[in-house]
Amino acid sequence: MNTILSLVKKDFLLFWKDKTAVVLTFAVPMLLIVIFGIIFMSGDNSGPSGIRLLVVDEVQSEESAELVGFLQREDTFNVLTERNLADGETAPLDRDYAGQLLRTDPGSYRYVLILPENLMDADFGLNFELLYNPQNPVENNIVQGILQKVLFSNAFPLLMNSESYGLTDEMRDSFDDELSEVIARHFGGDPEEIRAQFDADGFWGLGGSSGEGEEGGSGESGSSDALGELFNIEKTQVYGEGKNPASQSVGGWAVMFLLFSLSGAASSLFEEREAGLFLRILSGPATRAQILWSKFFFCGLLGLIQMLVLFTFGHLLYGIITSPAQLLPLLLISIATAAAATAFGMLLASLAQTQAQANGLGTLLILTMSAFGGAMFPLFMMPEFIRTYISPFSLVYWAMDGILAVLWRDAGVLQILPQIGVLCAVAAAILAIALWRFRKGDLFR
Amino acid sequence: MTASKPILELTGISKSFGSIHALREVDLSIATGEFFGFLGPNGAGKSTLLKVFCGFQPADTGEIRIKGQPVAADDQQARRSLGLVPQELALYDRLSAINNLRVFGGIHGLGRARIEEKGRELLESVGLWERRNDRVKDFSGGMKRRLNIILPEPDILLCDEPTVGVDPQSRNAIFEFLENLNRRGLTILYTTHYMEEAERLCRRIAIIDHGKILACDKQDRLLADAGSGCEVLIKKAPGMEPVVEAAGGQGELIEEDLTWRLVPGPGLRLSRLYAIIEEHGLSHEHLQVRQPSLEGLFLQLTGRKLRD
Repeated sequence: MNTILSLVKKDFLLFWKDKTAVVLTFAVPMLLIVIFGIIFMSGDNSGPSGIRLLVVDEVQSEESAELVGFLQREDTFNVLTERNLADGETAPLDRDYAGQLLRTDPGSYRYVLILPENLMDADFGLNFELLYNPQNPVENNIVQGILQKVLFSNAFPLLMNSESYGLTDEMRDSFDDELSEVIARHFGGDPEEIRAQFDADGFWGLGGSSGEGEEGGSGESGSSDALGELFNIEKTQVYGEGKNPASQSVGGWAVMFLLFSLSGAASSLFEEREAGLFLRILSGPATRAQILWSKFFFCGLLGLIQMLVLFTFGHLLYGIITSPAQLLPLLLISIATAAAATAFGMLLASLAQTQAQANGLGTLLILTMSAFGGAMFPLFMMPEFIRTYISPFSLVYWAMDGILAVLWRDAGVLQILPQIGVLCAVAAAILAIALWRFRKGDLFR
Repeated sequence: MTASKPILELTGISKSFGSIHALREVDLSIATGEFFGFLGPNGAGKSTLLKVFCGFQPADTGEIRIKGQPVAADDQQARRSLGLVPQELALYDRLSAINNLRVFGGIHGLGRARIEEKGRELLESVGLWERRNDRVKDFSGGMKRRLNIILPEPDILLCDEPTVGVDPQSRNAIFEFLENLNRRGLTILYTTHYMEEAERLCRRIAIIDHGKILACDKQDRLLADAGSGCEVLIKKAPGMEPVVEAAGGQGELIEEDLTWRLVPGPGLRLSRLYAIIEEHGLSHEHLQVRQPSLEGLFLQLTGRKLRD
């Protein structure tokens, strides 16, 4: 028994001496718990929040304003209804301006809801228009689902209780007749009896109970079909027609594993130091700077090749590249990403004292950056303050933004210059820090 | 000192790590074609000296000249002529033997054709040509050591204890390889704490301890100058007490199982001891003089054994 205890004690001692193992065992999963907790359990709901929704109210009535108010109270959306003018004043959004925003800044604005002038022109029900850029199918489904819920829950009763839309008693009767027909068609029953129930209740009651509306909006096929007939949402996909949503996952995994492979490659500097290889190399004509730059170029090229291979693989599997015009910008953003990731790997190697430290620190930082930068899951799932104030500090964020701009929106070189510029600046800055650290550190001693 | 032109010169080299003085005012001149040895125990400063040579660690003070030219710590051109064999097995063990040579040859600026030609010659000379395409990680320790010492075309080869942990067969192969290179004119600096290696290989030796060169000369001159480095063994036999008593005043007397060992001081007079033996009718065989050795010299210079 003593032997077993001694051996167990030995294993704990060895484990404790291996700081990488300790970090990977405790710190990394703790960090992931925190990150996923932030994502999935933030606030008092489990859904995304703060997704920008541009609302164009062409009706400009009290009721439409109230409907916009309902949308504004929905945590999922950050509703914008006005734009700033040059003279410091504001003006209501119009469809042209909102559509332009969607096209020119698709990273920030992906949804425009228009309450059109012909809101009530439909033969039956209400008209809405939705311009959207479904960069991510999950986000798109969530947004449209919640939009439907809000509209179904609030627009209909507002409409029915409003005089300003000019509903006469005849129109109400006609509406109730048609509605009872719709309900009978989808749910069964006698239209006459349903109509009689309406009369008995004063109205069919939807306006008095948002709960029924939520049911309608969230899902059962019969009710949603029925409500679908009441609400005509004309959808226009601004970007991504014919694109495969796999772009997000291909880009995400490519960037994340680029960071892993390059930080591993850079930390091989420690292996060479331990083996005495630097001593041997530096005894000849090579300099420390040449060793570091050669490592940088090797890692950069390896990263670029890795990215291109993964994009090719993604294309063969999912057809993520839809036009030859995407190739040059994709190459450029890949080069910038590989450079930034390589510089990150070099920085890790310069900060750590041993390869084990570099690997442990690397795992921690890469998972964090990937989570906050949108490589592990779409950014919209993050709380808004993380998307706004934390994500942009991750090089993954800029890499993903550039890659998706090319693959999803066919962005050209000029359009992704900001992302390329940020990545190159990040690469230069952290490489400078890394080189300074290498000079101060003991890699070559 | 040698009459040949110096290929490597050190003047007043000092190096400290915090409060530890690794090198203290080292002056040295190595001639072209010389096989020069640094003999000292572990931690004496031998490896640090080589690292300073090759610029891996800059000296705190002093000057290094290679082929007459002063060399700054970051002067890569001047160090093009150096090749270092570190204590560690400094090899890319996932690469083959020939690919290792290609890597190091390329770093030293050799062309592909020259590397191939030289690679064959070098690998044959250490008996590894047949294994040239095998990965180094599959080599035995001795084979790795043999591969570790070959470098393509340096003018000065710096060997830092290249036989650590080597079997006798590989050690001999390494010795023969280095002797052969030196015969062909290569200058070799060799650090070791094995006296027998220094005695076999090096024509000139610096004895170093605590970062200071205690003695530096040709081996025979060192030993000659260390005449007092000889030892006198006095057999424990009846009637020898007056000899032991007299010897006690001539150096350090150490009692061993069967003998007294006299480590002579500056005033050694062997003739006085022999006279006492004759006075008492004792045999001369009771007194043996052991010739000076590098180990004895080291003991004399430092007061401790080489392998302490």
